[in-house]
Amino acid sequence: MEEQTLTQLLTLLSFRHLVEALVVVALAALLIRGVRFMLDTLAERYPRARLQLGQSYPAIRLLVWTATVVFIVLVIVRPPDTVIFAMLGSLSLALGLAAQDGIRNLIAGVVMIFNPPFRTGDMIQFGGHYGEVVRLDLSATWLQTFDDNTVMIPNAEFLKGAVANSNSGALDEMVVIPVDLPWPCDIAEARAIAADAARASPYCYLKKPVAVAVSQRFEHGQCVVRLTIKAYVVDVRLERVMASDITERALEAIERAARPAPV
Amino acid sequence: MSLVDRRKNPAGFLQRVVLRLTGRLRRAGDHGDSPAVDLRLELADIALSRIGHAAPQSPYSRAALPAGDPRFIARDAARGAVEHGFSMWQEGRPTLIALTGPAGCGLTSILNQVPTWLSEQMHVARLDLDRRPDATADALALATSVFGAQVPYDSIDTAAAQINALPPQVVLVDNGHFLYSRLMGGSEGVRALHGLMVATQGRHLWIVACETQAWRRQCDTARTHRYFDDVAELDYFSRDELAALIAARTPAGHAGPDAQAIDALHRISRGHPALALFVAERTLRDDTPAIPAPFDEAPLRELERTELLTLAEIAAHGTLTARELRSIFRRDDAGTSILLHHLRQSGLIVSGPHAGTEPGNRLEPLVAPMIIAHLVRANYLY
Repeated sequence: MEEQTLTQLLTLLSFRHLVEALVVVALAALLIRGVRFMLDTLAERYPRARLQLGQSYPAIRLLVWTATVVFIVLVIVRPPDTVIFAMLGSLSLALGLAAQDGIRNLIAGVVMIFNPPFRTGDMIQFGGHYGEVVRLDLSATWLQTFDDNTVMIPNAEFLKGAVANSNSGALDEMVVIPVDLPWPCDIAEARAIAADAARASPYCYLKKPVAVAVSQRFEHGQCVVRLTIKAYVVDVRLERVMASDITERALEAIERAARPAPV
Repeated sequence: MSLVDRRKNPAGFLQRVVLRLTGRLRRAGDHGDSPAVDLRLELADIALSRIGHAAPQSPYSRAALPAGDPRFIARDAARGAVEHGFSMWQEGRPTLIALTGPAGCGLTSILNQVPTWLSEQMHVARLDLDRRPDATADALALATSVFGAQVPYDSIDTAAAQINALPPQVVLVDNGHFLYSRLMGGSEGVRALHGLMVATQGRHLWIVACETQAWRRQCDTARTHRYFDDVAELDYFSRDELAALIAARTPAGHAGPDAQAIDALHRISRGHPALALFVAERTLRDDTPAIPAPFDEAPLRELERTELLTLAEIAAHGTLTARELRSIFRRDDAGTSILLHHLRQSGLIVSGPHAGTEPGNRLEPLVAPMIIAHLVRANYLY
């Protein structure tokens, strides 16, 4: 019986079937590349829809590969039921044995496609890394940090720990900018200047509110007043640029306001 | 190939779309052997149109129309808002009216017609803003000058008390885009002007005409829409309005464009009256029946982030001087100058007269709709 199954299997994996399967795989890879190119072109042309377009790619890729495997098995190879059951049994055994890191990451990748904690283009904080999700593979996620480092994180890790998502699929995100001032100072004036500085920054997204909170801190034995400016940036990629711009404006204006008027 | 012809040749159109998507489109003429004739409007064509452009009395003049001009095309939404607001105000309800619309949709022409829509006994004053008020005193001086007041005021309450003692008037405020400022400290004067309008709306009827982008920014930053009772949001001309415009402007003795040409004209211009007039005049002058294909947006796609942000701020403010741009972007003189020259040479902005010592920069009026649409798509305007 086993010999018969093996013979059947060898017959099914004929040279012709292998060539046909390779052609289908090549076509699928080509299709995925085409989809990627089209999505990139559309994202370049319609930057506002950049995140939505990027988010659709992992699902499309999974769909294409699944369809490819199903097509090869059911249309090209067309194995009898006995072979299918034998293969499924072997596959289950292999999965069971190897369900360690690689398979776990793959399963996590599939889970993340249907229940995503973040999407391509989101800014996330995880395991001491903060950056933009630039690629979502089935087994790993790639972050681009503001230091221009590319960080690869296995997908299984995301199902274990907490992930902080700054923008959740939107282009804008809140940026928190602390500005410390020595005490004593005119708090009301400084707060007004800080809010004005945020609204004056060309990177600030004005459809959402600007807020300034005041708190007291002790640094090196000195009392300082901390202004925490909360403003939304128009595009997550400009987060650091806006933070720097607002800090510069606020500090300069506060210093100018505190300077005694010329006589 | 005109748009009409292009419809009949879907294969050619598809080929063009594919070429554009792959970024390999080359203008006809770049390669002398290309048989295709590219009729897309280029920025250079637009820039050339300014040289020796028709005088205001010319049929194709793009200047604002004075009160009662027969060439004015009825804008029912604007008239309805003004008449409704006026009747409410006459019944004693404090009212502020805003007429908003995209750059170049004809707000000044509409404002010019307002006196003809109101009762003849009503005194109508006009405030044509030509700069952003610096501070409270400056804003109050600007606003009270409309009422003939010469005394400087330092508080909104004092100025409002004086103005409220005067006979009722309708005040038309043009160039409302000057009521938005992103400059640090620049919102003080604007807030004072808004405050004065709110404080005197029971006695006087303020009608403000403002470009859409500037109005949105005012609403986002100062919640302006909460104080205005009637806001008429205008758009560019509909197909029928555009047909009426072209019919009113076509010189006697010339056959006007047919229905298909009007459709194509409307699609190309997006209803922007000045652009439609420009294309119609160009077609008539060159004696060619072909309506050009849509505007060539390639130069916009080549712009860098800084240039796009600059264009976005110019679009939102209506007009910005080099000094104001330096303040918004914290850029040095040389950098600002190079950037502005580059945008000017690219045909995207033009310099114009300004109340200050330096000229103001604004989007090239004929291509402003395309630039704004591009900036919205790229998320620089919202």
